[in-house]
Amino acid sequence: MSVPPPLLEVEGLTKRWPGTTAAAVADVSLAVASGERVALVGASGSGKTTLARLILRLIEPDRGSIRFAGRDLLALRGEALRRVRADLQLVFQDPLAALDPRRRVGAQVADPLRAHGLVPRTGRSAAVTALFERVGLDPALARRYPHELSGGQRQRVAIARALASRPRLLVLDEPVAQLDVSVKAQILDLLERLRREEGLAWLLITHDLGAARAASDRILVMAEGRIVEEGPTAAVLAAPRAPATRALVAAELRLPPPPERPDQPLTAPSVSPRTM
Amino acid sequence: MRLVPLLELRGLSVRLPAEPVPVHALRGLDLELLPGERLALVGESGSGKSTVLLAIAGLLPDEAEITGGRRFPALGREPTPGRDLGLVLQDPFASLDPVLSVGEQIGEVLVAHRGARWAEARRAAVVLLGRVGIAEPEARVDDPPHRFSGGQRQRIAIAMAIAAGPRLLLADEPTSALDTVVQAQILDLLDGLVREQGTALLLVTHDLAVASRIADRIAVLYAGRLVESGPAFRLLRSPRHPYTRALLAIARALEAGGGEPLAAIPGAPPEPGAELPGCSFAPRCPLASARCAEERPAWRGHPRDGVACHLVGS
Repeated sequence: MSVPPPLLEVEGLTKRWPGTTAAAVADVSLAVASGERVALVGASGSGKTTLARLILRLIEPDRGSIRFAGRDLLALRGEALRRVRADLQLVFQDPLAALDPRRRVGAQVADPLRAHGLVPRTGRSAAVTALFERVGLDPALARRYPHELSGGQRQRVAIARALASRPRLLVLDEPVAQLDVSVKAQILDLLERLRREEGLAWLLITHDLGAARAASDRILVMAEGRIVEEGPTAAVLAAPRAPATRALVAAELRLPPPPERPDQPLTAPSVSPRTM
Repeated sequence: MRLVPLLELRGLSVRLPAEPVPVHALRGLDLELLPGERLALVGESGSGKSTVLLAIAGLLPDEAEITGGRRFPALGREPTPGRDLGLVLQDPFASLDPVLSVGEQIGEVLVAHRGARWAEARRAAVVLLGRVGIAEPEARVDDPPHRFSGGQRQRIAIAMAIAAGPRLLLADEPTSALDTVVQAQILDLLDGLVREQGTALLLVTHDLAVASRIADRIAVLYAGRLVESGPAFRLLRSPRHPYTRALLAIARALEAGGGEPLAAIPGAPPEPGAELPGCSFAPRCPLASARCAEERPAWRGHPRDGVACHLVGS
């Protein structure tokens, strides 16, 4: 077969915390292809955050393997690991916790450019401006501190910083959970635009089925450390089989159905317009 | 016969001192809540929705400039927080003391506001813990808050808020820090409790789906002003204001999926100190005309079912 190897390939990954009986992550296997959008959903305590931290090598697994672009991630050390990290970036739920409160956000977006030696010193300011524009931020905001930005602006800064090293895979850990609905839609649309422009793939970790529907083609459902259901997002959420998936779908808050014949759209003033 | 409202806000404006310019958090808010009514106040960050709750509870900082008024006609006096008003916050840790047992904290409300003795208060705390869905409440009543999960802590905060049997429960994003499954459980719990006790509920949220689960009536706040309010079934089925329509379109697109862009509302709400002569939503509104930017739209329709938009006939 001439199918290219997946970008990320996880096999038999297991992590048990000391002093606990059940494994937080138990024999999990998954794959993400180049350019693919995969969601990993589950309730609190299902193990999805531990799995993400294992994939990013923030913690070490007890067993299992992680391959990224064909290379054994767990065997990499030093410079080789650093180079892979440029390709594999994380966006956190709470950008305020991920950003240094004492440094201007522009300098923080420049950090990966310096760390990975991607842009010479003289070009960094222009590169930061370009990154700000790519994520829809006014470059003038680069001089602000994190607390001087709104929640949506901070998440855009975190995305700009993750994009700086031109990654191939983003691990998005609840990237919109703390945002208002209108800001959530802006960030999800931004991520999709960037994915198309840059050929990104992502693993979206969330408990929000709306975010999973909007931002994934394939979904993995986790419960008690295991993947209990997997398939095309729309099909799995329309006809969930595993009890954990059913519980998530049943708990989702849904609006009452819209009327069959919606109101006349508001296209023009329906009161007499004032002559101007 | 007209019901006497439990709460009446008339032209409520709140200005909070801030640098570089004061924040005009509320700009002339009229709102009414009937006894037993469940109202969701929907708005995004900076809309002023949390300020409304603080103003009702009398918890605004001393330096806040408040004009207009709040009255409690059905109560006939100034409410006492804890007794007449219960408050549930987004983060239950903000209302729970980390050192005291949950039984002591619930009991304290009964001792302070219902004149209970400690022995009765502890027994009542066990009953309340059971009512909010804590399993084996006798075994848990002496545990401190950190022995409970996030969802259980929110249940305990709710037990404290309802302990004295308040007429009005104020809830500020009570479920937005919780995961989907727990969120639905907590909303159903709140719903059941206020129905049983006939308590009025004012719930503040940014999420219309949360509002639709629990509210009889929904009021939409934008940049410190109401833009629309009405019975939940009317507002969710035929929203009138372009902002309400845009919020609903996003929520429905997230429910439907399908890979289309979400039609996010472009831009951001005005800066909190900004003074706009016209409609605050006009800079982001796809339908705005020159009039919208110049002239503030008056409220059209009934105070409990109406809209502030030049484009909507009354």
